[in-house]
Amino acid sequence: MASRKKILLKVIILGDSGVGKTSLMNQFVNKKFSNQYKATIGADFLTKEVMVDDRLVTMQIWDTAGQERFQSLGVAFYRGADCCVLCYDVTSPNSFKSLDSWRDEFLIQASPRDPDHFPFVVLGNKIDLENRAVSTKRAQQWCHSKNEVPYFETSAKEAINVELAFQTIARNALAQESEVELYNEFPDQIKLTNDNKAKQDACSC
Amino acid sequence: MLVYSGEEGYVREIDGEEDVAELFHSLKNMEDLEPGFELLTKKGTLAERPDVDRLAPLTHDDFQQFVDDDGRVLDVEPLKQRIFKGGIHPNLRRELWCFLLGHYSWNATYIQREEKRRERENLYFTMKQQWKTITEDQESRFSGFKERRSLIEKDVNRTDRNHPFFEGEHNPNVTLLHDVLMTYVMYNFDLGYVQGMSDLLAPILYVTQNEATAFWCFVGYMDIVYRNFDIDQYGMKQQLKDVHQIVHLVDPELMSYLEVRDSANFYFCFRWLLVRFKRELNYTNTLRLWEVLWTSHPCPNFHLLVAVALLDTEKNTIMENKFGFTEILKHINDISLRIDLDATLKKAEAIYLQIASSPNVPDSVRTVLGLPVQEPSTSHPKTRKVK
Repeated sequence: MASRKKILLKVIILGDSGVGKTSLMNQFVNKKFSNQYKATIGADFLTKEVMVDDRLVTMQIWDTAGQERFQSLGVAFYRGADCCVLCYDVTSPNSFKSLDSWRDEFLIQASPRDPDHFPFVVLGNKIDLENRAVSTKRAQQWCHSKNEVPYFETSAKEAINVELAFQTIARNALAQESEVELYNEFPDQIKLTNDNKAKQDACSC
Repeated sequence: MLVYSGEEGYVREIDGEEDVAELFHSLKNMEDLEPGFELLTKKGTLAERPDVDRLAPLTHDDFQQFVDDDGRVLDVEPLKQRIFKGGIHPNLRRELWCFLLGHYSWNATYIQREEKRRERENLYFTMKQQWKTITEDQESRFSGFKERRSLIEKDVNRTDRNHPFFEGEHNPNVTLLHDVLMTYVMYNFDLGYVQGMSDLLAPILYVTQNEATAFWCFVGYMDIVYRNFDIDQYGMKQQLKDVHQIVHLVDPELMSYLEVRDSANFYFCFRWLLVRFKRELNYTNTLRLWEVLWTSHPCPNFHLLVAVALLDTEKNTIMENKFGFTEILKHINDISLRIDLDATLKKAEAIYLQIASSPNVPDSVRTVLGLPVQEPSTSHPKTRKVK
């Protein structure tokens, strides 16, 4: 059981340019929407305190640039992440197709201890728009194939499902964080397992 | 335990084994990165940082003194030096940016310049027709084009929309921004469109107020900064390393702090460098800074010294609050629009003069700042210039 000290959950939002990463973050943290957020350059984050099952935790939510070439700098920002939020735009099939590469890239760069069980959450954003092009079923199938990744359909503009999605993100991140803590309490035992070796070798790509 | 690390007798007190281990680890990394680095350096490696003045912006009357009867500028470097020291008066910007960004040649007469302008205007509209005439059907088999178009559409709609020039729905200037970027895609399809480019174009369009002129000035700007948009980000990574080298030279105390705090990658300077401080300054100051940088005075890569000057200003806040990587990034992002540009430019120039008059400056830094290299070039095969 994790100790009752202050808990910081690091959450990384990834997805193609213009799917609404900054808007989702701002809707959740500031309860505000603007269609004039500038394209994110580099990285930035916002923090918010939330209750998860009567525990107060601080979420540190990282927003990054969506254009692929800027991801080579991601490693500095992904390190120590407790949950990764993959976003796409339900009106843009290409942004949905990119989910695979965002997930892969994150696992390579963040190299979490247990990649098969690292918590991801998928958000299909912009459901307020009429020209929807990716069906719920198709998205659910993808999430199912990736070890039952939780899936939410959101609108950052209309504040639909944003709160609910981030509650799940917080809960799953907390579970991940607790596991890491448990792991760190018994480093000698774990040193002997294969998992640990995999972590040490993970950066030799 | 006490650790002596560099000049000015800077001695750090370290408690706990972990910190010492961390420090030595970071020092070891520094040695890897910078072959000439010594743990115990001589005192007073660098000269004093001098006081620097700035001048009032260059006016129309000032400029006329550099122009002959036919409109040629013959003494280019003194004019550039003058622009470096004070910038350009707003009503002269439109004309002088065309020179600084290579749209006009300094040694062309009024007549030659007008001919060139017309020729290039025609060329612009020819290239514009190229993308304008691509049908939806063609586009369905032209994914590279479609991707570029879709990125541009997304970005122009969120570029400087709070500025009066671009605000409001159906603003024709937003369409111009779109059209110039699309035409640049036809001009340089390989580079195409990368995020940040709309930030670099918007102030140029605002100053030139002319589509074709804005395009050619933008071409000139991209010729200077295109390495910022490398697919593998090589140009950006190199500039972050260059900032590292310079900070290491001028402020070893800050450098060892950043090393220990796992922040020596300088990623918090990424936005500064990618769009040349555009997101950190208001329009008035962005225009001023950019025209100063375009003079290449007093040295190439002066923008790196602007970054070093800003870090120097923030150093106390960072160190007194014991900021780590995350807090430094947040703090650097948060000082956006609260930067004193004049003071920063003075400090950056002072740092340049300080380095230029110091004997023990490594060749890596000399190369970046265009100072004469002291040793035969074989000793530093890795050094190179980023525009």
